[in-house]
Amino acid sequence: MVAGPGDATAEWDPGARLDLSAYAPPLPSPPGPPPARPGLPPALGLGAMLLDQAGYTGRRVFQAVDRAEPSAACARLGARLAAGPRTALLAMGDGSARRTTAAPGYLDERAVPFDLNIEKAVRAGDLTTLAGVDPALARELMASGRPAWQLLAGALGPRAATEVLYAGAPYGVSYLVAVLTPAPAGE
Amino acid sequence: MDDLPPGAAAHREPGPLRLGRHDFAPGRLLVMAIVNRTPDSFYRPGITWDEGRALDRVGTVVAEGADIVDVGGVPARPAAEVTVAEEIRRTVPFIEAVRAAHPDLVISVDTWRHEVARAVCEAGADLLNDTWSGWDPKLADVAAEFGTGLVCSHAGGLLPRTRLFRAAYTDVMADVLERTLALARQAEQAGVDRDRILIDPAHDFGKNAWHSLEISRRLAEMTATGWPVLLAVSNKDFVGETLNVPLEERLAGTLAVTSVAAWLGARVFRAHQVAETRQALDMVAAIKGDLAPARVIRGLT
Repeated sequence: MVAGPGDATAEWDPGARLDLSAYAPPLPSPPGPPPARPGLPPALGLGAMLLDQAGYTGRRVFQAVDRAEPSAACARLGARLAAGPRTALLAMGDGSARRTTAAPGYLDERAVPFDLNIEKAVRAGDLTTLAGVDPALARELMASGRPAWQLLAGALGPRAATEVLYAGAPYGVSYLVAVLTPAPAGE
Repeated sequence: MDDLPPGAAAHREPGPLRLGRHDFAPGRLLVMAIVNRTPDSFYRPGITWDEGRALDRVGTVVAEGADIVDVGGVPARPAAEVTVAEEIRRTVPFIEAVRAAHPDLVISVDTWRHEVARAVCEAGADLLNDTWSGWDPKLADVAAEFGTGLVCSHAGGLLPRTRLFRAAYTDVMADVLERTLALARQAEQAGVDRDRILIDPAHDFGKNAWHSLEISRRLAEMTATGWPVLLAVSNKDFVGETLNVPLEERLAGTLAVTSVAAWLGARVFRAHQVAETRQALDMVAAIKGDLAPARVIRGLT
């Protein structure tokens, strides 16, 4: 399953792919049939692209989560996923876009501590911190990934084994890449 | 409001553009020279922060062929807050000085706040350049009251002094037309002289480089509305990103967009480099047949 923020909480067509036409008006089209419209929201579309790049050909579920979805509802979506058959989850979501004066949202002094707190929690395998992120604060800091993080926390529970592969903020937007593995029962 | 759908009555016959005491015919290409009364605008910050230097700059740009000066007291980019009182302090005494020194010069003021607009109109401004797309609806009322002009722009829904983050458009030019024409119609209904209204797609405002290139490519759709189009592309990021050049190397790119837009019918060009812009526009006007060459000797003597 690929999960990420979107305009509404909804599943998308498993055959859908990334559609950047609203961001980058098409120049010469790539060969092959034109992509189906409407294409996926960017977070899900990038997830689809990663699956393609990894050569994944198995079943796909694309779950958009409303940017304003309350934390509890995000967690419930995640828990429902975890209760089903064994699934790999790609939770796609950015951190704050207000890290510097050159950032899309200009500088908010709270942005770096906010992102560092998320990073620290993920490194420590502490998912209760993700579950507890304040949606209002996340919105003010333009941390659009908040619903995806909370879906992830809902799926994995309070603890997970984690490995952080990347943490950085190019152009003033924070990105964190990590692999999270469910904690063994009883731990 | 009347019951016409947005944009329905928006097209008009091209006519003279009236600014200050001037009537500019449709074929005239006008240079609007930027004179910032700020310490922190993006291009050569603080260059005209000193009032004496700013007045000198006005004299220079007039000599270089500027038809309009555009005075700004607040940078477009996000930075320290500038209060209404401070914006007035930065602009009004300067406008009075420009008006005294250049009685016929068209003075535009780059502001989005009606309190500032009122003060600058009292000081002699001829045009309100509202880059933030009607954020303050009272701005048009001020233009109507003082008989000044108004620029109706598209900012992609941004609040003043914010930047876009992944703005998305099904059709960016359709969005630009809908917004700017609706604002133009509202301004006319508020009593602004229709011959003093301009529309501006506002490159880079709520748009990424792809979007700005697309509105450049499709500018004829704007000029076809009959409303005079203002082009404000000088040294902007979409030029820098397209050519991968820093701020100080964007003149050629700026002049390329300027020339294409002039060819497609834009009428007013906001510029930092006035002499070069004047030359590019005169060349385009000559190609179009709207302006005779300054001299023709080659092959005739």
